[in-house]
This record gives sequence, C-alpha cells and structure tokens, in this order.
Amino acid sequence: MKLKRISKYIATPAGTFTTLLTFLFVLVFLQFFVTEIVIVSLYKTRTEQFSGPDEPKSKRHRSAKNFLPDGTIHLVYVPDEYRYADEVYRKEQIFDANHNLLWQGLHKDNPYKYLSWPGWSHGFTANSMKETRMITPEFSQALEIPFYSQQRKIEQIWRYAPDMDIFVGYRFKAGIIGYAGSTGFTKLKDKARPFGRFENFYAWCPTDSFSPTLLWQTNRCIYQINFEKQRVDLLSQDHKDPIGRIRTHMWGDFTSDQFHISKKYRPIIHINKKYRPIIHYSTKDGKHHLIMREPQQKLSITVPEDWKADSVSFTATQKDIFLRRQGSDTKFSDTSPRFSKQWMDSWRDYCSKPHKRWVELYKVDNQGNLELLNRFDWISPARPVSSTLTPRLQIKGYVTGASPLAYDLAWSSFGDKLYGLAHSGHGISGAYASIIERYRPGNSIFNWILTVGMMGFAFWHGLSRRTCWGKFIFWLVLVGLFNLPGLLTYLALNHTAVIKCSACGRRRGLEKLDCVRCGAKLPLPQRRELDLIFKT
Amino acid sequence: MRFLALLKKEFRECLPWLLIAAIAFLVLGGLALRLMIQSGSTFSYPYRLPPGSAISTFRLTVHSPLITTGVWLFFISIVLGLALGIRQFFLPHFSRTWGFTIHRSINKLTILCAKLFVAAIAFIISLGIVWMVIYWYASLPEILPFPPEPRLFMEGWILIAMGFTVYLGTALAGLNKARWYTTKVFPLAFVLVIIVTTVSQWKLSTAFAVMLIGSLILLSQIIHTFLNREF
Repeated sequence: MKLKRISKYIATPAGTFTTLLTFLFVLVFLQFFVTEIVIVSLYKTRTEQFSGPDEPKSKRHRSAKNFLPDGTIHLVYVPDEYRYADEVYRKEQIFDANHNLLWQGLHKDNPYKYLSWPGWSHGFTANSMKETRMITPEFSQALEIPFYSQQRKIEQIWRYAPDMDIFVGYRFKAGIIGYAGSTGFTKLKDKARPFGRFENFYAWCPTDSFSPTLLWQTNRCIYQINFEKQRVDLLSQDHKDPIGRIRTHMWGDFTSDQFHISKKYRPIIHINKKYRPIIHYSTKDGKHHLIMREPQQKLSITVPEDWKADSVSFTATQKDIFLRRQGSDTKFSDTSPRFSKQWMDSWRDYCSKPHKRWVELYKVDNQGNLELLNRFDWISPARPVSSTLTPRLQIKGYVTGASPLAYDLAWSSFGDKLYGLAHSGHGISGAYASIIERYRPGNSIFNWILTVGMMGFAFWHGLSRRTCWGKFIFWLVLVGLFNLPGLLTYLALNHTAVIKCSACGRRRGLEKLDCVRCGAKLPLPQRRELDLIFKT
Repeated sequence: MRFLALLKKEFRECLPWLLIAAIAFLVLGGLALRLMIQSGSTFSYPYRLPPGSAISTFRLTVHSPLITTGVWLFFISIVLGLALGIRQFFLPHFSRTWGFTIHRSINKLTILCAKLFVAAIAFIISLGIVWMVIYWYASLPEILPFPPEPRLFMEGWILIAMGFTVYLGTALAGLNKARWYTTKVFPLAFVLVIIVTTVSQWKLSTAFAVMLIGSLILLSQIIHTFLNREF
C-alpha cells in the first residue's frame, strides 16, 4: 500500500509531464505545417524596390569599395546580369570616388591591384565539433588528421580526443604511437598537456607535404600544429581573457585561400608575394593583435572604444600594414523582443530610411599608431524588408494563437539567453529555444482571448468534477499557462462521467463521494424485493 | 522460488525474441563490419590532400568503420524493445491471460519486477554481449588499420538503452486503458522525444542522464498503473 501511495505522488506528475510534452510537440508540428503550407500558397515573387541599377546612388552603394596601396579608392561595380557569373567571364566597371568611369572590361583584365583583406572564414568551430560528436545511430565522428608517406599512403593518423583536449597518434596497424598537446609531441600520455578549450581550426597542406598542418585556436591561445615535423608552436601569447574569432590572410603555405575554386582560376586569384602572412584577432580589452611572418612580428593595436571589433580588418604588405574600418552613422536599436511586432515595425522603419555609410583606410606603423589615408562616404538607399516576411508574420499571429503563454513568460525572463541558444546551433537545446522563439504568442490579443476561453471551459468542466480546490486551481493555472496543450492535458487526465445529484439536481462527478455542490452522499442502491439474502 | 518461477516463465516467453535479436545483430552487424574491412573503406580516406592547398576542415571528420553496425544495433534494439513490450504487456490482454498471471499468491510488484528484469537481461544478453564481441573484434590490431575510439563502445550501450526505453514506452502504452487513438500511444511519442534528445547530445554523461530521467518517468507510471489497474 505504501508503494502504491508513493508511486501515485511520482507517477501523477510524471504522467502530466509526459502528456503535456506530447501535446506541445503535436502543436508545434501542426503550427509548422500550417505555416509552411500557407506560406507556399501565398508566395509572391519578391519585389525589389531598389532604385534603378543605373542610378549613381544605387551604383555607389552596390559597388565594392576597393583601396589601392597608396590609399586611392575605386568603386567596382558589377552589372546585375554578371553578378553571379563565372569570374572569368564577369564584366566590371571601375569608377573613382567622384563616379567617373576609369575602366570597364572582364574581371581578369582588371589593370588595378587592390589591397586584399582576410575574409570571415568560419572554419571548424566548437559547434561543428559538437555536431560531429553527436551520438547518432551511425555513431559520432572523429577528427582525424592523416599523415601520408611520400608514396601517398597513410602511415599515421592523429585523432583529436575532445575529453582530454589532446591528439592521440596511431600508426598503421600498430596502435598508439604518441600524443600531441600544448607542450608538443610526446610518447607518454601523462606528459601531454591539454591545448585548452577548442574554438576553431583551419587546415592546409604545405607546398612540400601531403599531410595537413593545423592552425588551432583555443579560447585563450593560437597554436600551429605540424604533424609531419611533430611540432606544436604557440603563436599567440597566453591571454587571460577569451580571444575573439581569428581572421587569417595568406597564413597557410599554399597558393590559394579558396579551396573550392578550381585550378583554372588559381592563377587569376593568386595573390602575389607582396603580402605578409597575417593572423588577426581581438581581445575583450578592445585591443587588436596581429601575428605576422616574413619577417616575424607581433603587434598589438589599441583602437578607440566605440570601434566595433568586427568592423575592423587588417592586411600587411611587404612595405606597410593597413587597417580598414567600415560602418554606418545610424545604428538599429530596439529593446523589444526580437521579431516581435514592435521589433519588426522598428526594423521596417529603419530599413525604409536612407543611411550614411563610410569606409576608412588607415596605415599602421610599427608602434601600432594609426594614420588615416582615405575615407569614402556614401548613402545607402532605403530598402524594403523581404516581402515574404509579411505573410509569415500575419500567419504567425493566427498560428501562435494556440501557443502557450508560458513561452512568452520564458522569453520575457530569459529572452537574451534563449535567443543566443536558438541562433548558436547548440543541438537540441538550440532547437527547443528556437521553438519558443518562433512560436511564442508575443502577447497577441487572439492568444489572450483563446487562453481565457480555454480557462473558462476548464472551469466549467472542472467545477462539477473537482475533488479538491487545490487540484482544481492547479489545473486552471496549467490551462492558462499552456493554452490548448494545457486544456487537452487536463481533459485527457481528468475527464470523467457526471451524474445528476439526487439531492440538489445539479451535475456532480463520480470521483468524490460527497456532492461538490450540496455535500449529499452518493445514493446507495435500494434494497429490492427479490433480494433473497436480506429477506431470509 | 515463486519469483524464480516467474522469471523462468517470462524468460521462456521472451526467448524467441531474444534469440532472433542476437542472431540478427550478430549476422547483420558482423557482416556490415566484414564488408567494410573487405571493401577497404576503413583505410582509404575519401579525399586527396594535394600539397599547397587549403583543406575543407569538415573533410577531416571521419566516421568509424562501425558505422553500419551502429545503424543495425539501433534498429534491432528498437525492434526488440517493441517486440518485448508487446509480448509482455499487449499479448496477455489479447489472449485474456492477465487474470491468470495476476491472481496468484504473489504480489503484483513481484510480477512486474520479473517482467522488467527479464527484459533488461534480454537486452544485455542479446545485444549487449554481441556488441561487446563485435567491438572487441574490431579493436584487434590486425583487423582495422586504426582501432575504433573507446567512446564508441559506450555509444553502443546508449543505443541499447534506447531500445530499453522503447520497451518501457510500449509497456506503459500496453497498460494504459485509454483508446489507441487517444493518449494510449503517448508514452511512445514521449520515447521519441527522449530518443531525439539523446541523439542530439555530444556528451556521453548527458546522453545517459537524458535516458535515465526519461526511463524513470516511464517506470514510475508503469509501476503506478500496474499496481492500480484492475485486470
């Protein structure tokens, strides 16, 4: 009997949780399908409302702003019909800052050699690492760096062990041969020191090797790992605070940064040896750090506090170091929850106005001082928010009518955290966060009306069936918090037949012996004349 | 003695499923591994690394040669969970033998424990031991060029545990008196949520924790329903 009672106290909440969770998922499925079906049926071709491509303002905005090493700026405009064309056949027009045409022709014949800048390469991030380690039916994947012999045969692999933050080396059919950690390569596991929390890595094959070399970024350091020569070089200093995402330019000893571009292009995009290999990263204190080769040099640059870290990039030629900064004079700021109606209205308002934008080029000296070489200002024309967003938002208002109010409560309490999770690609927690972000009702009146209606229905249904007031109030609150899934859970777990009370004539449930209205007991069956036992 | 007798009865009923699962996994999982070895795909990397080129970093992540074996393990584990759950909790309902099972001079909890214990043992014997044998074979130095990660061994056990969770979900669905198109199938839907949550984990400890919490939620309901239901 004791176990029966204990099991009741655990099993009842467990059953409620299971049922509620299932209904929540069913609702999300329905909301997703309804939204997508309606979006597809309502889809209209996106209408671009940019000013005509021939207008100088629009051209100026849509042109690439390229600098020559002497600081001169050129606007490189690619007509719409060539925007997605193969680089070999792409036609370009080059204008000066006053919009005078300087040159036009095929990209490959461009006579100007502009400064090239490091691009944002995502590389293989900590999130990518987590994704490869997911416990799927196919098992998790491992990060393995093969080491090839000169005969192009794999002799060793170096497998990353995320739980230890080191590499473990295996020789072909011969088991473990060593370990690689922050202090270098060793044969003993005890001597291998962890690299630290993994953040990012890039890989390339040096010109004299078939085996990859890695640029390995942890949360505080940057290493270069050469498995062939069994060398681990600490490139950066060991920072106390986490370091930002690194950007590289010509760092790897290879002919092209762009592995996905076929060989026929490589001579065209090949950047000549006038550039020094460079790694750029920033730290929390607002400093930008450069690690350069040919010759070896490390430089820390302090920039004004209001410069955003991702608006700044560096490049280094054999002669000079340059800094490019891009920005806008107006910033979009709205404190209301992202993608809420207010937020979308402010976003539309922001987009509908033209904004002043600019790009600056600085020369950096060996002490890290900046000298402004050139600045170019232009106006970015007003642009419409994608027309597909509007029907989505309209549908969202109806579809999220049945969404739980609890989503809104969670969003208002942990909105920033949930937004970060939803957009970080963090497996299942990110998926659950994005469900809340996408399907939260956003304080819509329709949702409030439905919630009140469902609470009213639960009140009407539960009043005659209640067994105690505590339970009754709990279910009302649950229905209020979870809307349709809450109501369905309530009905699934509480629906019982009702009878007419013999005393007061009103409806009463059968779960309780006393009538909830008048307190009368359940009627006992009356003795009948044919009851032989009592008669004798 | 009565408990042992119950165990024997349950074991006898589950034996065919247990044997089918063990043989199926041994044959299919083992064959998948042998085919991987024979085809040489465990050795040749599917890419070339020409000198002087950048490498797409995602190409350096590789699946284990046990990839197909894992898929079979997952699939057979789920099927075994369903089969045992149906055999132990649905079939007595259809064959009307619940009354015979329950109305003995032994308490209900002992009967339930016997069922759950046998199911757990069935998973360990039919899939766990075979998985251990296959993993041990794959780890032999002369079989694969590079041994599989030790972590994969634990991942295999997580896949087996998923099957056991399916068994618990099926058991609860079987005990639930609701109609099949209403909340009767909800435990299975809940199991689906547990499985999806588990396969999205990258830490073994978190994956085990998710499975454990999910199983405890189901188990508490199974005990409560079994003890309170009128058969």
